[in-house]
Amino acid sequence: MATASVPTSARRTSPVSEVHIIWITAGLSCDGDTISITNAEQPSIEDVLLGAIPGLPKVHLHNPVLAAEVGDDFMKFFYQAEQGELDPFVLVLEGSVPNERVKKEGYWAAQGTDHNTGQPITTCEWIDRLAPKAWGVIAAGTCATYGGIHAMAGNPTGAMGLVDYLGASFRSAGGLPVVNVPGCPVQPDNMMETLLYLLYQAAGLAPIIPLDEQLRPTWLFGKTVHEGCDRAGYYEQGDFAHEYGSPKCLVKIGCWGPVVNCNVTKRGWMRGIGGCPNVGGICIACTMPGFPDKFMPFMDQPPGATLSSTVAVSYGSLMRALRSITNNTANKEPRWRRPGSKLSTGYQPTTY
Amino acid sequence: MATLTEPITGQEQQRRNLVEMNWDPITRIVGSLGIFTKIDFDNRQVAECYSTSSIFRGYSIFMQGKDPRDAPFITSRICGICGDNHATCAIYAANMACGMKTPELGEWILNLGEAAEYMFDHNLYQDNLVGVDFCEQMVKQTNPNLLAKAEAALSPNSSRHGYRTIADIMRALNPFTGEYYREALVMSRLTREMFCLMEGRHVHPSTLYPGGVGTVPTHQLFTDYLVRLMKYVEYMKKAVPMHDDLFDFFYQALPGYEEVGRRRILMGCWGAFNDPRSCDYRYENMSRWGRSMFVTPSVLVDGEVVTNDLVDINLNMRILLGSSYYEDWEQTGEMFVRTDPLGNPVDKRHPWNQTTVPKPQKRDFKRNYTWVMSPRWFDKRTGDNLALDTGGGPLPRLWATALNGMVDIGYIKATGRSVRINFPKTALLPETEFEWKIPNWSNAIERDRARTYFQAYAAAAALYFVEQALRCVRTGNTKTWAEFKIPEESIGCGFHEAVRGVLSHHVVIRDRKIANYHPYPPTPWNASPRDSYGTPGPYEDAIQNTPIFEENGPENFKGIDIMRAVRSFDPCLPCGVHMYLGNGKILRTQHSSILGAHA
Amino acid sequence: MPHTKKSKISSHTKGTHRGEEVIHSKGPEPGRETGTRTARDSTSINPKARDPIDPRMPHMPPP
Repeated sequence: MATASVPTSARRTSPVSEVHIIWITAGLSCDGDTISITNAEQPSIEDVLLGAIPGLPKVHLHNPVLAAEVGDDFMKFFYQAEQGELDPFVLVLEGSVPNERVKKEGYWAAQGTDHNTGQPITTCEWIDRLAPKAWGVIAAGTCATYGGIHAMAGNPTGAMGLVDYLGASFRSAGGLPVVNVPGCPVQPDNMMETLLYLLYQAAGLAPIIPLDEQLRPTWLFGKTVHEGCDRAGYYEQGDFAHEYGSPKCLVKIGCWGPVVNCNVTKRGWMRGIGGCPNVGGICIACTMPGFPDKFMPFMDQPPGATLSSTVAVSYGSLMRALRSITNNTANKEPRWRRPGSKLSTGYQPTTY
Repeated sequence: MATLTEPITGQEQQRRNLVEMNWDPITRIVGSLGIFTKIDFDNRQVAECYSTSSIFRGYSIFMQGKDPRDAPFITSRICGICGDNHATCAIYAANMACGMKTPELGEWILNLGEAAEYMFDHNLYQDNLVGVDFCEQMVKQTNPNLLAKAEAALSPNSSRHGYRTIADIMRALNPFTGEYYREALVMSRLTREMFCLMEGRHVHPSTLYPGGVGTVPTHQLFTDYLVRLMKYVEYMKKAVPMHDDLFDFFYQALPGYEEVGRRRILMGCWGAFNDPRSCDYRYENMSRWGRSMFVTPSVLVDGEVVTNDLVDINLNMRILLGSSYYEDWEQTGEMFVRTDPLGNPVDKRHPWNQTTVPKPQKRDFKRNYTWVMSPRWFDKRTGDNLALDTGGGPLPRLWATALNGMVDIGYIKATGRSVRINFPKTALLPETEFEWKIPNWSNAIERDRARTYFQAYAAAAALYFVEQALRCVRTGNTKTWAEFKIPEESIGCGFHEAVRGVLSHHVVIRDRKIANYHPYPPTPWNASPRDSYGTPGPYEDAIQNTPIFEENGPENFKGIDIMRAVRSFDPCLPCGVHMYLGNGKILRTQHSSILGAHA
Repeated sequence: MPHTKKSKISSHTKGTHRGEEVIHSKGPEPGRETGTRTARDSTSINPKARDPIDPRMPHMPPP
């Protein structure tokens, strides 16, 4: 992917005090990313919407799964955003972007009805209308970022990620590239933290959001799963699981952790609980552009695991032996801690 | 009121003064659904109802040729709120196809994870999505006179839940500002912590595999789950009476409300929670172990159990066309499975033998008008193909379990007419018993009421599962996964309950790869259109029979009674359309049933 | 499967080890030889010293 270069005028000159979020779930989606944000606590969705965080603009969320409004009452926000009446707004896309051009008629994904033609409006059409006008654009979840499950080999819709569709040179009205927050689904706090950062940025309180080459927030995706994994010590000591349900390193039975950018092992899934390999789930690389094809069949041992784990076994068994010696010593108290009339701590009393 | 299954003619339309009212998208559900109606305001009836869905993904296509071990991981992505139900059902089918059985503790762990899913999903759906239809802000807009009555109506159980009047309950359900709305969100996170302890992450699990689970079973794992469960149990002691008060008020204040969303009692429940001491995943023994499930499977017709035998349930599944854009496979399709492992003949229209051949064409309400097929259940007694519904999930689960009278685990007892749920003492509240009694109707209010009761049921079942799991840990019975080898050729099936109803997965393996895979989640059953025998689908009858109680005329009409009827089924459209093939032909108004699109 | 072109990218590659067969080829891991878990299942640093000291005590190694 081309390196994202951002014009210096990206930062909005006047801070924003009120912002709308137009959330499209109508990509080829399971709605799992929206369900995920209801699981976040750092911050929670209600923290953001009720104004519990100081300095943030007032936020209005328009997401079909949570909205009180129905039908046209809900869609009116989309039309207002298109007409420039909802400026500034952040556009969030959830779900893969289908390829509407590979067929002659019909649609793969649509939302709402065009009042003039009476025809459904495709999701691609909504992206075309809204993305250029949005202050910022977020792709939430791996389907929206890189195509994901629906884009696997043999799929009929030609599904892809948002940046594949818009092109790497796309910039929002606020001068930003698309912000990709992958995960299948997106980890709850990862998504809410990214939104929080962008709200700070919109309010003029934070510099432009730092993104890596795959347009992921650097503070969330800058480490590998292995670098954050509770079980990495087993790898280093050459102790590997031969079956599912073992507490040891899972690299021989399907885990891709050493090469995957994701923080789920470091922070857990929620409140420090869970986190794939930490708790016995092989990493299937669901945050990566190559997902899922380059990692299937998931239960097969990743190539390279044999070599590195073989080396780890020999290095590891030496380390285990040395550590066992030291562990034995560490498990014994110093000799002077005992009853008896002789003080042998090294202190020489003169008065008793 | 006549059940209308034909579009109204222009003449009749003029005579009846019908107003078109459309809601596209329906919000506060999962996935894409649009409802198009014609309302007879003079007679306060829904005269015609059409539904559409606008997203197609293609799972049945891209799963072909893939490795069978990937099925749980892939099928989980069918749904973003209940994906783990798919992963679980895929594992049941894989266990059968590959000849292994999940070890005892692995099964308890899976049951605990699935129980947490029901506790989470029903909670979020009921009180953060459906609840908005009953909240003070909404009722003020749709039925101001009802709200005035609610302000004066004292809650019979206010001493248990703390809300003095029914209007106080409604205010507490206001989105984001309502206290109970926010409490429900918090509880939806606590329950997902319980889920993550067992299944690693939510919604798409990481620790589930064919053969069992990768979760490491320690004493701590189960006590971590238990302390959270007890907080949920305490919360349910308040939630059940609060929802009873709210729903009973609707019957009292709006006589006739039992007709909202009402249809014939024609439901399916495929069972949930395997008992590892009985379940060996062998098809030959499925009749026996199906009956040992802690939610009893059944086909229910007019209030009676027609069968509780999963082999019988399996063999009589039929996928009919009739109003759908497909070429029929009856003559041309391959016969993947001629007989089941017991030697019973398998029908060409059974999911094992389904071949989906899309045939995009013009929409014609008198012939084909949708991409959705019509799952039906063949009743040998009468020769009918029954359009079963899943009642949103909880209603048939409780109904079937009650009637069969087999579940008895202390915390839950099925009596033949009811289900008793016994909660132990929690920190601040004493032992409490709830009894869900079989209702008189299959309607919107009873589907919603059953949902809160099933949250309690799942919590009670989880208390039992934790005890069994701790017993295993304390006696060193800690194996959670069974090794296996994928056979060259095999078939398997899994029966489970997705949160919102019946879920089955049927797999055919050839050359160690997936040759055919057909999941049938609840929404295609509920949303199916009229089939080749002329039988209409469930949403169709339920919505068309709905009377209008809303006080607004056409200018400000919110269609709240229709919304309550639709949402009582807990429509989940990604599941509804995950598997149909096609070119995404533009679907608009179709006859009553939903969905269209294809997954 | 007439309408799908089979792609090799997502299929099993011959020669790759299948995760569900590792135990078959390598046997049980240390600490799990008897089907139940001992201290060695969780640690390779002096595991015998981490086992319970009394035969009446169940084995409960950490996760």
